[in-house]
Amino acid sequence: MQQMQELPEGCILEVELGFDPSALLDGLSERGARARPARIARRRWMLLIQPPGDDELMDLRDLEAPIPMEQILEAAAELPPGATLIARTPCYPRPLMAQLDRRQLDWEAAEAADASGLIWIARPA
Amino acid sequence: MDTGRLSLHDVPPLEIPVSFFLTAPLALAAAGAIVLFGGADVLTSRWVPLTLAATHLGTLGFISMVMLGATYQMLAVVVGSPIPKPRIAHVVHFLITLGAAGFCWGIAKGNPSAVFVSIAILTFGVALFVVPVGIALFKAPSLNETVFGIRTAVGFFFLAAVAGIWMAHGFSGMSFPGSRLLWSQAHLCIALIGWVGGLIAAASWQVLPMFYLTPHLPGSIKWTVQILAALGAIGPVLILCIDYFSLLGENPPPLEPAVAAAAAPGILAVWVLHPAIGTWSLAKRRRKRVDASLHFWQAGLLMAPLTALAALASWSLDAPHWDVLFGWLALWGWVGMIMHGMLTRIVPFLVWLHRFAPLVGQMRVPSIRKLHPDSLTRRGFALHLISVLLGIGAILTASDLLCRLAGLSLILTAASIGHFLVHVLRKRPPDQPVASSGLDAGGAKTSPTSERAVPGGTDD
Repeated sequence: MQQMQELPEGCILEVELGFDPSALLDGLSERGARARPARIARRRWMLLIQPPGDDELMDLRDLEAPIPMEQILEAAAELPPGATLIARTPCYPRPLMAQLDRRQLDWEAAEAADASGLIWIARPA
Repeated sequence: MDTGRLSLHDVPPLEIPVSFFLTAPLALAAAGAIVLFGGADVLTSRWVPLTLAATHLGTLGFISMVMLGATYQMLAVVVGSPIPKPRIAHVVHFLITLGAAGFCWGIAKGNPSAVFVSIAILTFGVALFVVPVGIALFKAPSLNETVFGIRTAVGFFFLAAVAGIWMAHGFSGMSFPGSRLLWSQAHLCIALIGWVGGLIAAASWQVLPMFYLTPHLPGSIKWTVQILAALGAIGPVLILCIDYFSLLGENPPPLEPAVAAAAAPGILAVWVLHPAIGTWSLAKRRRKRVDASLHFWQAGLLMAPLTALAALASWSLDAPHWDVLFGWLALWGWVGMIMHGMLTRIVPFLVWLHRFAPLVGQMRVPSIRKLHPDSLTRRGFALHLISVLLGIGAILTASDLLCRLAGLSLILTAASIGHFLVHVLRKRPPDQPVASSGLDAGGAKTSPTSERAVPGGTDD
């Protein structure tokens, strides 16, 4: 909870747990945070936590390539200067990166514990 | 966490993988022509010169051609490690094409000079592929099972090529380096298990979740497959070294059974474990809509255990047609199906990535499905499956008619692949220069009045 409160705006906290995090979800929800649990192994869970007030995460994990890339690029084209977006993709979104560079957008990408991709994109102010 | 960054300039141009992909159906058609005109003789024994020529048109001309092209692209897009001097790939393509064509022609015609020149050309082609790709692989930002799989596959490609080129000296007026049966068995194991099986498995960890939304598998499973495949290929390499350097003395026992035993972990990995895992993954895919390219994967993975059974028959039974059946199932049933399926999924993706992705947000771009009608893929699959079945029938019955029909179906399948590739590659946005220079500074969406719809791309 403390880590969540210290998260900068537009960031996501990824936590790997050795227990089913269902019991935590109500507590997080009461604090306005959005939490997405995922089971990644027999006794391992992953929890993605977005602090209160942040924009909804674009969850594109159920779309096959290259549809996630297309939707992210379309959303990125609409970003006003200084705005950010975070998307979750089926895999680490490596082919997307060159396209973001071409558009001179800032980005950071990571592979989540469940092997899905997380990408943060910002249009410089 | 993978933090490898990739700049736009690191992605190899589209023409690099595509030049390899476009050559593959030509080699396949040439192999089909040999089977069509050679008739039953071609599919009765592995040692017939025309059979060797057709086999190497399949392995070097079709399979390796697709795999080399895919490796160039995968290193940038999947591994995140750009290849130094990517334009050398054009030289590699030229040398491998020329060398493979000359080698197969030399073997078919019994021309030692042509074989000798061709293996020299192939040697340069292999070296020019392995060195830059090896550098890129060792600079990979992370070592996961895919990177390990590609590294070992490229290493075994090199070793299979060295063994093959060394053996080919026997066709160029010089002598074989050792027992022809032993060396050909080992060459086959290194190439099929280490190079082809290792790369198919490594690619599948990325391609199946990406294109078919299959579940991500635990790393332990993926590592097990890759390590067993590598062990199954390194064993035959060591046995060749033992044979060549006479490490067991002047009168060693026959080493052929040792090759089969050493390859067992690899056989288990690429023809049993990986197909079982792949089939399970595809059954569990989140996107249930059936894509025609999915059938290639399913059929190819189904052929893998049949290939293992054929390998067992080939090893334990004397009749020469079991060898041919094993080769046919391995090369055209298992690998051929998967390569064909990969082409139908990856080439439209690359065309979309290179030509249309830069325009997203600026104009309406066609979806990837608009680039390739599913009917073309289904037609390719039907032809491929018919050719596999005709070949099996021809080999088991030694029917001349079935052999020639199998050859004809190979040519038709090659034509179908070629048509598919040309159809997809002709898709371009109406105004290509916009893709490279027309974006505004931030890539922001242009005004609605300047939007141009590209409903299905346009043909040139």
